[in-house]
Amino acid sequence: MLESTRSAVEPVNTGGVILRKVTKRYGTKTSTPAAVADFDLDIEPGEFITFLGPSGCGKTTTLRMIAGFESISSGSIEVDGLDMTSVPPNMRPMSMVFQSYALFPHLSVRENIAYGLKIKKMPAARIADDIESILAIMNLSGLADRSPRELSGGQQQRVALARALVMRPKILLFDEPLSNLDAKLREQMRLEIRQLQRRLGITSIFVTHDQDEAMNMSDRIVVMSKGRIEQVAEPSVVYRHPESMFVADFVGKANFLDVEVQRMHDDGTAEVQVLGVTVRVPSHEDVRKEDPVQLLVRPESVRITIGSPDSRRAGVGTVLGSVFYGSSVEYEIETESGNLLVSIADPDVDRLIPTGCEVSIRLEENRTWLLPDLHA
Amino acid sequence: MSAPTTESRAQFRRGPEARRMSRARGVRDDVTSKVIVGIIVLILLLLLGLPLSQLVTRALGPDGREVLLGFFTDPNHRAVLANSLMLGAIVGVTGTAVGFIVAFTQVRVKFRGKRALHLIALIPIVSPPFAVATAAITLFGRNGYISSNLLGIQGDIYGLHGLVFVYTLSFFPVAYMNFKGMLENLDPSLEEAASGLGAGKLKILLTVTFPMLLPGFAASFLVLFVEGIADLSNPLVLGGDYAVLSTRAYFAMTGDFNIGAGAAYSLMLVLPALLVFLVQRYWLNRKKVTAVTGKPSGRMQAISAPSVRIPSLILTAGIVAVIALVYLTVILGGFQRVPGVNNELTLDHFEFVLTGIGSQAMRDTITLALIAAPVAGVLGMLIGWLVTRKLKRFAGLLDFAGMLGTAFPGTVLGIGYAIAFLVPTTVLGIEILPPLAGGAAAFGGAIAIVMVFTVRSLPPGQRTGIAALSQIDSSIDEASTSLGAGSATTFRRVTLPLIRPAFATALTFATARSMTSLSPIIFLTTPEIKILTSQILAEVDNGRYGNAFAYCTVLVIIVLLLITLVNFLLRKVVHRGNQFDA
Repeated sequence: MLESTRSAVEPVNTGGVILRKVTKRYGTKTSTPAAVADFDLDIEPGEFITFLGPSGCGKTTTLRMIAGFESISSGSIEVDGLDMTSVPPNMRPMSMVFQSYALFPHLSVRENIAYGLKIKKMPAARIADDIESILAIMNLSGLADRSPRELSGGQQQRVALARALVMRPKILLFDEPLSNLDAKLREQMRLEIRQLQRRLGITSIFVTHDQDEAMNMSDRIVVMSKGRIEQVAEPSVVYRHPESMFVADFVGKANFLDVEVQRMHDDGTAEVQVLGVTVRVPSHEDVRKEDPVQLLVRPESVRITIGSPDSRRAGVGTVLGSVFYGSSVEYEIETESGNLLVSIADPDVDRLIPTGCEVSIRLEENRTWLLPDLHA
Repeated sequence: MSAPTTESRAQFRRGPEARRMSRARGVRDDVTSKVIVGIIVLILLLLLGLPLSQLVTRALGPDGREVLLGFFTDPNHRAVLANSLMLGAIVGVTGTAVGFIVAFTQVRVKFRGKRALHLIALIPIVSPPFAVATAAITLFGRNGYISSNLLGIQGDIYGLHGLVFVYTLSFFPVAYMNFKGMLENLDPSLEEAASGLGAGKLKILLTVTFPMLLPGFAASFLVLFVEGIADLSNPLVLGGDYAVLSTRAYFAMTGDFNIGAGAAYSLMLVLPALLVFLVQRYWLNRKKVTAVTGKPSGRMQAISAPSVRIPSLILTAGIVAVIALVYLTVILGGFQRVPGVNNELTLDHFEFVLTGIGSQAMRDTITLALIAAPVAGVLGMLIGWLVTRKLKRFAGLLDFAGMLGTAFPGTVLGIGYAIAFLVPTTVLGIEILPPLAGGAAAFGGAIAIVMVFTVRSLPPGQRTGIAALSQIDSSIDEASTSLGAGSATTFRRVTLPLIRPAFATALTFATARSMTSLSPIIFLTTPEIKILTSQILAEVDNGRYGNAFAYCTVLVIIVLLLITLVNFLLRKVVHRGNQFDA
């Protein structure tokens, strides 16, 4: 089993991608805003990278430019040193997995997977071998002769992935492939794709607007907004030390508190006045003492207790309301630095804090992040 | 992050030759599309551009100018124009009304026998011209069954009222199909919302449903208006003293041999037709999209309220009765010595049709229609493919050009073809094509007839192609591309198999349409090539209604057989495709 498994997708084919000042402009006028502007990125061979952003941010356009389905207005795309700009999409060493799966409805599962191999003019015996092994890898063995419409969403997704993998592409492109699945299946497929990708080491570029998906799967996340890159970093960095308020807000839930910088320290921290107390917090390098700033506080990085402040480093607030999620409960709390969303994990359901109650608030200072407020 | 391995790096190094190869293939792929575009443009220029430019040239020549100026100065000419417009306008209103009533009853009213009603409503589409007109004469004419035998009066069916009657019956199915589609696609939640706000059934219809269908009324009116002014066959038989543009053009061409005048009359037909085509294309289509959401959110409830149901059913029953009467007359008339006068039963007419000249006409007509259908089909499919998938800036233009075959009245096309192809085609003084039409041309002028059939069948094929292709998500094509297939391979292995069923249906109707059309080919028939519809005209002209009825019956049977055959074959194919669904 393992032997045959190996033959379908190994020896591993993988490659790096370099995007240089890639720009997409619809229409000829230079005054029209670019759909993607000056996109610069180096993707390492074997890396799993995610383009994350709201709809219309240019993430899919960028993916489609890499695939060759969209022409690039300027800039260059290289795969392992080869300029791809003038290479037509069908000749690029990559396979794409589509949001709609794009399975050929008139072909069976087996024929769908064989499609690309036949176009490559691979001998029939090898095609049959490769199909068997990829079916085994993807847990599709019993379904080879079914028609796509007889498969469940998850199975269709697997066929689409098998069809792409069997081509041994250097790069796998995913265009929001999980958005049509229900929540449970989505999580399972995330895991499967990630494990398979790790095992095969194929460079993967994954487009999504789902921040959980990006967090779970990626080596690095490219957060995009309005055609530009906001930040490229590992998931933990994007979450804890976002480049901008946009990134902080888009990835996870975020509170932004009005604070006053009292002192900047050389070690990248700052002393700020927040909730009526002074705390020392990690700070973005662009923060200047005199400029407007906001303090990012994740809802789970706050401790609250009923009653007046219990220490000199605790602030005070009033509960405005609460939402119960089962595994957690979220309180909205009014404070002098602005409203604060607080998430308490594993809550004691008999002791939820009632609305109107005064609470003592303590921030986990090391998990907050001071950002320049560019909107002010 | 998984680190890059040295093997994977090495793997990637087999670069330059792969790159050269891919460049070459990419260029070739691009060239394929361009060559296809070039060929199609040439074909369209030959099929449409040449005849129409010749038509315009002749219309603006000395003979043509006289006629054109006459529309401003001569009251007789003006009267002809006014007659055509009046006829078109009245038929637009009556045909739309009848089509709507039948469609509304069919879709919304609760009754048994919906399938039968649908089939009856479609009969006029597949029946040849003259069937209704000749039956009308037999029923309501001077010695008609009804006028003379039942009512004892001398009927007068010739003229405007007769034409309106015949046109309404012949063309209402177009409006019926149009409204049927719209009514079925209306979002029921809108009516449910109105009902939730306390409106009764009738009130909902008047305040919610009808306003949403307004674009449909406008579209139907326009289509029928054009049909009304463009048709030639019925005014020839029933017009009497009511002169219209199409008959004037016909008589100028075939009676006076005044080609310039014929061209000029046709040009006057083109203008309103083209205007209506443009209005429909660029104004109504857009409105329709906003009025009807493509995705019904549930099933519309059939109406059983008597205030709506009873009037609808009575009106529809009346219409069905008239259709039945007309077509029974056609069928029965084929077996009568002299229908309406001497009702003795006989098989002579069918013998004439099936063994005499008629059998050659049947063979010729079917052969030519069957040659034209696949040509038109492939052409329509290619245009549809280019329009939806390949072209960006010029997509609209190409689509427009392909659709012109229905925008121009058949009379206009026929005259254009006669002018352009009775003589050799020359470019810069060099003969590039021999004469294609007329008895002296190769195959007795059959090529020009096939070309006209092709032009007329192209639009339905193209429409179906575009509709079918738009339903296929472009990611399916991209998936094929991503798996290494070029445009041509993708078209052959993915696109074509997916649109084939819709396409075959469109082709069947196109073939049926070719076989039952008269106006374009009447200018192109020759003694060598016999076409059924022009044979029917000859029989009607000579008062041999029995033969005409027999022809009509046979033609309808051929068309129905063809449709049944294609449906049967398609069902088999589809069934095979779905074998796992059971």
